Amino acid sequence: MNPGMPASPEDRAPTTAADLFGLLWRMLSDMLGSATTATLLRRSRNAVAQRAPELAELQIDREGLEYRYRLPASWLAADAQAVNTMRDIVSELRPLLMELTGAVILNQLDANPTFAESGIIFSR
Amino acid sequence: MSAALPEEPPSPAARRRARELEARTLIEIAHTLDSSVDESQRLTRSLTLLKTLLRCDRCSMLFDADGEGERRLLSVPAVEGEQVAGLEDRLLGLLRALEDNAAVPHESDGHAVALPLVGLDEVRGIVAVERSTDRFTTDEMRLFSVVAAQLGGYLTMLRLNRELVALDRFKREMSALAAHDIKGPLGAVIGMVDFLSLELNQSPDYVRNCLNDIRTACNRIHRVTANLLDLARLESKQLPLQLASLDIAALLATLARHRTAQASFRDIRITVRPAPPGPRARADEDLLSRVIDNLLDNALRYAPVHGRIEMEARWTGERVQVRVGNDGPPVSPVARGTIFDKFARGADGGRMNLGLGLYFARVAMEAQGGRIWLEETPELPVVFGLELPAAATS
Repeated sequence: MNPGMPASPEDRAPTTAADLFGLLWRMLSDMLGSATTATLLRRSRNAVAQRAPELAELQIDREGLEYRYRLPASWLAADAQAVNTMRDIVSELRPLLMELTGAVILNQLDANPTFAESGIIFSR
Repeated sequence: MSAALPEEPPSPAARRRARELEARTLIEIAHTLDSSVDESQRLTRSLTLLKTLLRCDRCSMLFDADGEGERRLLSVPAVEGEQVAGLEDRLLGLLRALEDNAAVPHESDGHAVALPLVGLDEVRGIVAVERSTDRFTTDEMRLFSVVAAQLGGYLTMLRLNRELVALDRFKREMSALAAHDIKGPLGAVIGMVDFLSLELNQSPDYVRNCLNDIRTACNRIHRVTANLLDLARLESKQLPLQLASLDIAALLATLARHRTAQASFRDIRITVRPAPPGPRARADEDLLSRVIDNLLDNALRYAPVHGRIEMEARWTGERVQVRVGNDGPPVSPVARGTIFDKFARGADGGRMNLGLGLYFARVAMEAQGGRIWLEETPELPVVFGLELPAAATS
């Protein structure tokens, strides 16, 4: 694939759980701020962690002026199980986001096709 | 029947005005939280400004200001009766879902949105806004998140400040307790040294000098403990002052006389001007004596062998000024900035000096309506100045 040429869906590398988490982090931080994003994603991680032990590796910490997250190693590769875990996190996040912010944030997240392509729908 | 006309999008000028108003409101919230009014007023006004910013019907917040689990509800406009419990339950449900992973309540109709108040990575409370007309937009959520961050930061500052105040109170109480417990036995030691001095007055010089040194050291410890005790009372405004008209020159002469023996060991000359009677100030005799004695002790410590200490009292209009100077080394510019602070130490690293003497002097002078400062004159590199209200003349 040449740089600058639009990639066809077949050419594109599969979206990893790390890509999805990074995108979710960026979009939520943009709309709600990083402190709220960290609070919401930590809660969702804690809720899923009992059935997904690899989430012990998902760390969200405040370092100096910024929040930083560290992802499980398996999330960096195209791994169906990791994407499933990411879906579980979104399932935990969805009702809380709905209750806190109504549909506005969920709709914005759904407007990004990357999530839908990975089978993640927020406003379900 | 006519169809409603579609709303025209706002003009660029209207959009700019709206942005300017948003920016001004955010700045106003920052100023409000940084103001000197009490915390309830700051938070209520911030919620009022948030209500304007987001054009909503109600803004409310539930928070734990003390970190002790007791939550407070604030709402603009205020809620009453059954509404209080309803609002509190809803916010508490959300807060528990965020803090404790409790089940998420399902009450939102999309017209109320809420955000956690986060500071130092902890959830301190929750803030909610309600609007019965249109739903909130993404841009409004961004604005809301900025205000939530400001409120979260403010609540964190409040919590830290309370912790500091409690810690400081504990420290002061412990210091006062220790000072109180030391004072009694120390008094007994001083009494016994005085007794031994009388009994052994025919002993060789080195024995009498030794007893004298013990007495000087004990007196210094006594002064430090007295400073600690009175500081605790002065800082908590529990020391009753006995303000009276005092002849300051007479007080200086008495204090200088008590230090004559100590000064003579290093051949330091103490002079007092004018000879009594001198200017009269309105002050607490015990407190002022201790302040001046602290300055004198300081001067005796830093004045060189064969050096000099000069004490002076004079009128300056409706005030009386006292100066206690010595010809010891000048105070460095860096030390000048902190010399009256608690635990500030001198060049000797504070041998037998907890750094409380000058701090005590400042607090004691301020309690009497006076002040203290440090200056340098061509003759004396270190001069401490005191100023007090003059006593009323009959």
